[in-house]
Amino acid sequence: MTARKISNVRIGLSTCILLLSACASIQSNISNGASFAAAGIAYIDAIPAILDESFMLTVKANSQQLLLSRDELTEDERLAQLEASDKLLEKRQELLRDLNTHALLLRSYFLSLKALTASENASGMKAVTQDLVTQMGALSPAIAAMSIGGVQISGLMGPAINLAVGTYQNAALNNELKMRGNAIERELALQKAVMSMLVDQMKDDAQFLIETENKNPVFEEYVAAKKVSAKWSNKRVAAFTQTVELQSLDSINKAADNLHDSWIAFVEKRDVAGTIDLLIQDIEQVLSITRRFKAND
Amino acid sequence: MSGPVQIKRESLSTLRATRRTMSSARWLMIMKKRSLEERREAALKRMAVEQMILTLGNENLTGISAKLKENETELNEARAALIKAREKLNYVKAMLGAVSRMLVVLSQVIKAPVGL
Repeated sequence: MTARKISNVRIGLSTCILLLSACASIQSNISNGASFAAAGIAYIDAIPAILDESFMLTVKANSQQLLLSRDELTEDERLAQLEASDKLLEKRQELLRDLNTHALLLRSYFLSLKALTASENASGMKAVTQDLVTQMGALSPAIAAMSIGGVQISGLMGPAINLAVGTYQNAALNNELKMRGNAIERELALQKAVMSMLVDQMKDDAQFLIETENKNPVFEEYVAAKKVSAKWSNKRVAAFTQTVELQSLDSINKAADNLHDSWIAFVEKRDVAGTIDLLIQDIEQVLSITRRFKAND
Repeated sequence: MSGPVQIKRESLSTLRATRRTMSSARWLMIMKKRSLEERREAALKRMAVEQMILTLGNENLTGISAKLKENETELNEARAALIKAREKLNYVKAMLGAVSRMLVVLSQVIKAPVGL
């Protein structure tokens, strides 16, 4: 091999390595964006079930209060209490509906982020460009034979297109994060606050229902009944077990916290691979809770 | 967290604790031994606590919902910017495809025997 040929091969290999390494660093940011978008969509998909469950628990707890008070009230008082409760519950339903509509807007943002950062963008472009090079080769054998450092031009198209598309995606993504990263951060902070409020309310309503429906009868039976039933001990265990299960609702808060924190890390260009993995685990837990909600309906 | 929001949250927490006390088995058993009027009054107070919980909960959600709505314009702009960036990428892809198709036609014209 002549010195000139060796030098050409070196240029070819260097071009390939340069293209591939530039691609890797850009692709990491884009794939973080894609993972984040997927996690955001999964999180928002769980929101309707959380909102439904929150409302259902509120109505159940309110109904239980109305029933506990009913015997002591006159008919007029019952009517007044029922109407006042209904009015407040209708307002709650309207507020939750607004939250759901807003969540859909955030979902569409994540869908657009997913579309921009999709890996299909580069592969689709690669196929079109490869086709273009083939057609140019058919038109002129000189183009088909063209090479850089012994590496055929068609072989360099893949990494070059990946780099070009990646650079464009990365620039568009960075520009967007710079322009409106704060707005999304604010949005996720508010989502975190909403979830924290709803989880507090759900835990309290559920705890109230467990106490009035399960624990109170156990207490009364033991204290006031002439004879305690054989199932008394089991009923007592069931009441305590349900209380422990309420703690799983905390994973909703954890997922909202992680979504917010991961976004800040992503905007600040910190390594988010680990945090996104944790976020996905938290979202999985939230999805499993919402599946349980649906199964109990 | 700002002052009024914190106060509302703490009030809500106190009201919830009161609701649980006023609905506990111990409370209900004590009430059974009281006069009809005392029981009626206790029931009305329990319902007043319940409605205050709903009212404060609604107020908290209204506050946060208003802040989310304030953010909607920017959220829409962000979404539109991402869609536009994606469209530009698709435009380049479409252009390359069109050039490729044109080259196919061109190569067929060049290869065609002269005189046709």
